[in-house]
Amino acid sequence: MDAFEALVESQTASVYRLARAYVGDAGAPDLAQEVLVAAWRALPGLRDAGAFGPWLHRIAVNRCRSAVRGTGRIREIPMDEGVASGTPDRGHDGFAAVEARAVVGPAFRRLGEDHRALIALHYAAGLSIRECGETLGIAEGTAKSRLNAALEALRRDVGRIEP
Amino acid sequence: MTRHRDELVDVFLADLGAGSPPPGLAAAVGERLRHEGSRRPSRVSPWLAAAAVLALLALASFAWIVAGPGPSPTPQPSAPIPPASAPAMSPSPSATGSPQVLGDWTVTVNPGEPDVPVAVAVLDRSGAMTGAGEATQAPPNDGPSDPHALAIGQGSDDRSLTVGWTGSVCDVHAQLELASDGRTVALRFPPRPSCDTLGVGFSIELRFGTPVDPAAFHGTWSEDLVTISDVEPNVVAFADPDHGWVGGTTPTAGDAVVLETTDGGASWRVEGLGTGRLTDVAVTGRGIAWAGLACDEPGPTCRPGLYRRDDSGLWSRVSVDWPVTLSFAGNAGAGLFVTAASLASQDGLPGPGIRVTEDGGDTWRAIPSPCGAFDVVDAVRVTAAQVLALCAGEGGAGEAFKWLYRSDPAGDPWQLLASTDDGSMPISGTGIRIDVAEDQTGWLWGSRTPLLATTDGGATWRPLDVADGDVRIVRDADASGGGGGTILVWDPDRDGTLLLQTDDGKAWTQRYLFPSPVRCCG
Repeated sequence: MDAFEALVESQTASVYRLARAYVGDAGAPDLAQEVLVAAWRALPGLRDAGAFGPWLHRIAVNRCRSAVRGTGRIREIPMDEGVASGTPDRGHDGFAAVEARAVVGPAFRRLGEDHRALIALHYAAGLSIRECGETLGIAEGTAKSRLNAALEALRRDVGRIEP
Repeated sequence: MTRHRDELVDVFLADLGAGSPPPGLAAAVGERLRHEGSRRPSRVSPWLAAAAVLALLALASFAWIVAGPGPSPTPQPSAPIPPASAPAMSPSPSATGSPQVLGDWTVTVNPGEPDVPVAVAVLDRSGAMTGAGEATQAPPNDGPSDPHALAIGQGSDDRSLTVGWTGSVCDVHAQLELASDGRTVALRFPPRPSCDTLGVGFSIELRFGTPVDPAAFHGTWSEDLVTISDVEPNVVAFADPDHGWVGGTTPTAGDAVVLETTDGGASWRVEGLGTGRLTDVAVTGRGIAWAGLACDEPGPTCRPGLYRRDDSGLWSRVSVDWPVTLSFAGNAGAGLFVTAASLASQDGLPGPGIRVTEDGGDTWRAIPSPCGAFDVVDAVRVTAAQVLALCAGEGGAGEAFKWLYRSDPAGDPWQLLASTDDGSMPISGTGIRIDVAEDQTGWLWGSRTPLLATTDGGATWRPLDVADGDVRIVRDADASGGGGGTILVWDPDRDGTLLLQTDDGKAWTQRYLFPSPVRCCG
């Protein structure tokens, strides 16, 4: 278990940020914990130890999808809840981040599952395009084009709803 | 406004990556794992347990396929790699003791293919990679004349063994295992029935810690590397409730795999089309199967196009056109497929193209698209005399529109049947697909569109509950008439893809559950 714990240690931040992208600050710790425990239970099914990263993040994406669909054990907590509750921003740029969550967050949640997963994996979890592709089982070129399409869709949606 | 919009999105994206886990999260997980320790499944994947040595080979322009981030290290033949540490190898019957692979290895390809890079990884039985690299020399072909056999001989000294075989450029990856008996060398490939370029020679030298006798070794060759549990299914077609095809991809290796059942999903036969993504499958009345294959990087191992499987089980590429969707009417003669826009433009067609056949696929001709500058996202050969085409495009304000047209097989004239403009087609999102049977009953589905049903050939649509009534993401569907058919539907609760059938769209029967290949979230 020590080796796995070491892996957990190295991946916790990435998994946490991925969970946070899906369910927000309040739900992220529990969801991240669920992901890591699920990975532990599923570890015997991992065929290629070298593929641990994509494998773990795929589990994370699946769990996150379940969470926001309401089919998992974790209730959905919108990412912009910090605005409603007055939670101080822990992001990178004070009020700007809060405003961005309030305006862009709903559009992010309206994205298709694949688009949302790519943005979360790349920008939240910090995976490279290649790693995103490995995680989602698609080629690197496909991941790149889909990520561009996801960003385009996000910007278009934000432009549509922005006052 | 645009600038402000882009700034907000940029800040949002930056904020996604800025969050830090609360202190103690990792420790909490560790503590929970310690409590869960006794619950951990004891089963270890046979794939790992059996592998003392595992070699993954990649040919042609293949990127390095062995898992693990970062570039592969250059092989160091003179520096033995530590012996496998995890589970002990079974006792060897050999008087010289248990041969233990030290990981000192070389890889060779025949001179006829000197430019074909070969990538190899050596893993111990725990799955940890102990060595990796690419071939740097082009020694002679040590493969046997029988393409389905291994040649095992003495290596460069009495502690080494040379294993040779004849492969093909379709063998994007293969797996060489030294079984736990210490005497059986097994080479396994994914199925590749469409490959017609056999003849590339390979050899690999295994070095042991003690002297080895090649005569004591036994080699096996098989096309069983991909099993049904490796496949992420995404397309389906059934000729009748018992006989059908499911296509998909293996997420890790990228193999394009087709699965055939003749008993309603109780058992499956695995076949492969090399690497790539299956875009659709179809079955004709003659029992002939069809598949569309797309490639992100076309090359020797991934050849996009239209594939046909004859009744002898051989897959062959019959068109370089890249079908996005495939559809045959009830009789085998009438069919069509929609080509990718990029290829359609190459052969001079005015935009995305629809190809139709009247002779079971022996000849194809293009018909005009009703979609103008927009995309044909799907088309259906409802009957020999009727074709439906679904178009998608965006209006000036970014709204997505879809239009459904009906025509004869000549594509002239096209008549507007339903659209999102007037609400007669309540769909949104991408990946919209349609299938309508000869009796004018059919389905419509997409990434954000739950299954919709029609009984009037597509003029009107209504939502259809699937199985337990939950809203499901339908991956593919095959309407068979009478409101019935077969669907592939993702089930997040069970972390897998369900194969469901219905006779009337009301009562559903689960034929199979394809578990997620990563066996997630046990």
